[in-house]
Amino acid sequence: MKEIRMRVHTQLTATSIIAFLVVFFTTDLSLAQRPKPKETQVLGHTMYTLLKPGDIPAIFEPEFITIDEADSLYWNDEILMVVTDGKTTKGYSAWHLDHHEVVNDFLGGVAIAVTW
Amino acid sequence: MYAADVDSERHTFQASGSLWQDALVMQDLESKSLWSQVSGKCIMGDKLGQELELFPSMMTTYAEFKQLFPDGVLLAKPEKGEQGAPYEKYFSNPDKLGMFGRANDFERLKGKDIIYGLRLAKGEVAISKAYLHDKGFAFVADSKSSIAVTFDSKSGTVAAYLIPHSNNIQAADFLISDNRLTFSVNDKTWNMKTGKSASGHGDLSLAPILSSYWFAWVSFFPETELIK
Repeated sequence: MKEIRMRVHTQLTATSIIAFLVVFFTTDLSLAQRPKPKETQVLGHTMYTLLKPGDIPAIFEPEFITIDEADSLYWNDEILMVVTDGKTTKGYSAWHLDHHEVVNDFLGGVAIAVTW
Repeated sequence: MYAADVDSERHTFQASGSLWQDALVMQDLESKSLWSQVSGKCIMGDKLGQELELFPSMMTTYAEFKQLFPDGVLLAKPEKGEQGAPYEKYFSNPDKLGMFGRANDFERLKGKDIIYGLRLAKGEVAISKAYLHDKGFAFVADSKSSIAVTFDSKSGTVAAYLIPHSNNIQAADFLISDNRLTFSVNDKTWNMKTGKSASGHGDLSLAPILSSYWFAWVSFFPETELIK
């Protein structure tokens, strides 16, 4: 299991469709039973709508923990996105992006949307 | 990773439930406009035509984070978690490109090769992970900015740094050794994973960098320069 997790995390990409794959392909429905995505033409490309806004819940009030507290919750090989302003440094795990796609936060008073 | 101000006001974002060009579409809760996660551009709604500003970030592992940023904080998790199995088939299938099996029309790299993308005034630049794995470093510049990208193959740590701009700087002016980035012209040296000065002068600031599958990147930016 650990090998699988490592392999997946090293391949996470900016064009994340991870949560979609999890939600869409892990339902109990067979492929034939799954609802057909709604198709909309947007700026010359087809936009496929499979879920409702918020079905993949974003994080709006992030809570942070110290490294001491994180040691029991984070794998050493867990991939992080990191932001820093020289005073504060924050890490966001691939786990959060898998499950939430977007983390709404601040760094040094600047509002940021963490996603990849 | 984006700065979340639109028209000078903070906006909050969530997944819209839609995919466009096989990539996530975000929705802001304030105007309900839809935004491409890859380009940062509004593609539908009141904010159509506007673009979010990229925010600098880097990628590393938790083990490295502990070493590099011992005073850093991490987003709380409810559990340690085991991911992977639900979408392992997607990652392991080189021919499955995107949600609906897009054909790979592009010859410069394989569709699922990983690239690290930079967006400069002159246009987009993609650097293949294989190149960075081999060289440990890349340098990209145009008339307005100079960016050094460092990659530690042992941990997978990748970071892009803004280099004080000069039209005369070249990739050959830099050396990577012992986790240090050295500008050989004046022997200024920085920690390649944090940008902190190791020779008593200013630290380097992070520049925005994205990781992506090649097929997705080149779909959005077909004219991209490629370093491979």
